[in-house]
Amino acid sequence: MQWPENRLKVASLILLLTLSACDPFPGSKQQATSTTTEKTRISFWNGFTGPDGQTMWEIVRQFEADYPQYEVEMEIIPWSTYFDKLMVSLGSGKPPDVFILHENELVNYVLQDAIRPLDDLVNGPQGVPVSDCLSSIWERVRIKVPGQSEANIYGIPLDCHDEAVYYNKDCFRQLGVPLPEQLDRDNFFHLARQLTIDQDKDGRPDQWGFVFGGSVRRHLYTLTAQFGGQFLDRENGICLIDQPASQKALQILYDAINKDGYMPNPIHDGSNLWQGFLQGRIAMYTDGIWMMNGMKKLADFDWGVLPYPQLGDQKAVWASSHVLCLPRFSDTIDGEAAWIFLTYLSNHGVDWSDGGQLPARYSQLASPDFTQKEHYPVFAAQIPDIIFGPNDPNIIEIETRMEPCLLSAMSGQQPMLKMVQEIKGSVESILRRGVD
Amino acid sequence: MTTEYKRSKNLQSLIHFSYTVPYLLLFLCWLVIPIIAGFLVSLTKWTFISGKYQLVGLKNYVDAFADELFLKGIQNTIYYTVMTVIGGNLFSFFLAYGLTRVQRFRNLFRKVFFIPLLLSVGITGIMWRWLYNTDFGLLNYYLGFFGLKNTNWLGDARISMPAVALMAIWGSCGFNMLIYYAGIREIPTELKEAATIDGAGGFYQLWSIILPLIRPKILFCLVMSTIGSIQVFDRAYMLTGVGPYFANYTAIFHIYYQAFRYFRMGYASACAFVLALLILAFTSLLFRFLGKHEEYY
Repeated sequence: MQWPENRLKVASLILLLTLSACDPFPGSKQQATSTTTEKTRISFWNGFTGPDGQTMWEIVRQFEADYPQYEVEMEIIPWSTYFDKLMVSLGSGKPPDVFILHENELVNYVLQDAIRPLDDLVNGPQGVPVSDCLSSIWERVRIKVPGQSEANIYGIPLDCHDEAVYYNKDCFRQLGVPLPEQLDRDNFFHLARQLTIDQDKDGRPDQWGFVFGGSVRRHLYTLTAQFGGQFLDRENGICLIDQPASQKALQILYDAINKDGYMPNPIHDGSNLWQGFLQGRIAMYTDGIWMMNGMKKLADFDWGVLPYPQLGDQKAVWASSHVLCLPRFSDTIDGEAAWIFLTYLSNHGVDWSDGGQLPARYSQLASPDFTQKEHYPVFAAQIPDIIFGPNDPNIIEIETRMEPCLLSAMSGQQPMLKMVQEIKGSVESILRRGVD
Repeated sequence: MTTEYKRSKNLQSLIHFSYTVPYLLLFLCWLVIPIIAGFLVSLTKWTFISGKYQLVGLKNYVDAFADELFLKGIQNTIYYTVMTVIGGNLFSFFLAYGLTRVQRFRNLFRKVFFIPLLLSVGITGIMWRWLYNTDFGLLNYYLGFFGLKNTNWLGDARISMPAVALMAIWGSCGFNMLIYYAGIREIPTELKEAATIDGAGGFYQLWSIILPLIRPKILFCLVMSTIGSIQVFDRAYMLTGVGPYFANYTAIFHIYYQAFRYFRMGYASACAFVLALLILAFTSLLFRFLGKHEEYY
């Protein structure tokens, strides 16, 4: 009596499995393949989620017009999740054909064997004029891997981004303070205090004189270099944050909030500081050239740009660069197409500068199309003085570890000495561990 | 006859078992194999991209227990878990209890309390960031009516984690509330009526009848909240990142950064297993104290 029912069950199971194994859309894959054969696709990943993404889209569209045989699939991924996706794609053998890294991230990826050396392409018939590239950035993309006799080129610099001081001209005019041509230790502190106003005398200024904007570590690198020091001694595995140059830098950052009082506490106001500048509550604000993109659209805001203040014995300003890379291993990459696209981007540095960047080539920096741009030359004039963050494979971990400590010390939430010791201890422990 | 019956029975069992095969395959592929693979990875030094690995034994586990930041992450996770599990369940229970006591707008209240659960953490994170804003936030605005000075909710290391916990309690109370509400509604009315006749007041009924009878629901909610809270990442990430001086740096932050930012897959896997053991310890404790099964009716 059981058999007919069981047979029915077996039959239904077989039918179910057979149906599930069937492709409901036969030929769909074939169709998809046939459409892709017309143009060579180049996948390009970056993190340009701001208005710079729009600028990049325009360059990509121009590339597709100039090279109709290619089609670029550009994927803009927020930097916060960009590296997660990039890492998985590189590990799984399905990376993008071209992708962006910051110069300080490059060395880690190179040591993971994830990036293709570009020496043959750079020196090939469709190469890149090495002598035209900014030498300081070029040094960052030439990396010597342990076990190899010479350094190789692992990326082509797309741009350079340094920092300067954005200032609100109205804040100066209202107080009758003449606009300075540059900021140094003779006029900076006086000016910053002069522009800090507490009209209602409630102990909280209504207008602040100056803000060291963005990440604290960038200002630490800059000011430490201005005092003739450096943050890391990589060869000996020592963090130099407790040395006089870094101590002087930290003191300036601490005093800005807690002694001189010309800067609002970032712990209190957080991300509102840039908004505060745009609202006219902050007279001078230090940040990167990438802010230019937003500033250009502010019609009723009378602003200007000054070089980064020289508060130490020598000039220095932190900078970084977006670097174009090709993956080392890929199942799908069309190397020739990727290289043509990469060099096209590199050759269009002036167009890319509209996105709030400096070109990474001397010829582009000197071209009239660039030099006639308003405010950009201030950033460009600092190029001889630019310094980069430490070039360590574990730099992302080091910076993630130290930034909250720096912010707590600068804002006065934690004792400076304790934070300095903590940063030194943790950074040296990371350096000792090396690369896993 | 007996042999044929046995054969038929066996075939029937086989067919019934075959119905579970799709689930078992998924269970195997997505849970059992990854757990085993994860454990094996935790015994290696492996960076994923290069594919090169090196067996290091239990070194990653030793490193995890010596890593101050990981221990701080565990400490913060426990702090957050205690706040959200106790606070969240108390809040959910009293919402549910209150709902059973009101007659008008009950459905409306139930929906309103459940809505936060349907919103994405990304949206609620931005919303709460504005609520907590020191200068312009609604929270400080209303507290100002009571003469309180502006509080730096997210920038002060002492209160930023409770601020994240408050957002989490608000965001997840709807789920537990429904469980408690269903549990309270399941209790036979005769029991409450008998207690009322015996002179038991509201508090006595709550303590001696309602709470014991919904104990399985309490256990379920506590276990689920504990597991969810120990794995906290998204809410803290959206609201403050690691927070002021790592105040909101939880164990999952550590695992995420180690794996996806620093490429230390082996070490991150070891940290994940330590966290799994923590979840196991917490849930075992809950089962130990609340897991006794007793039928009252």
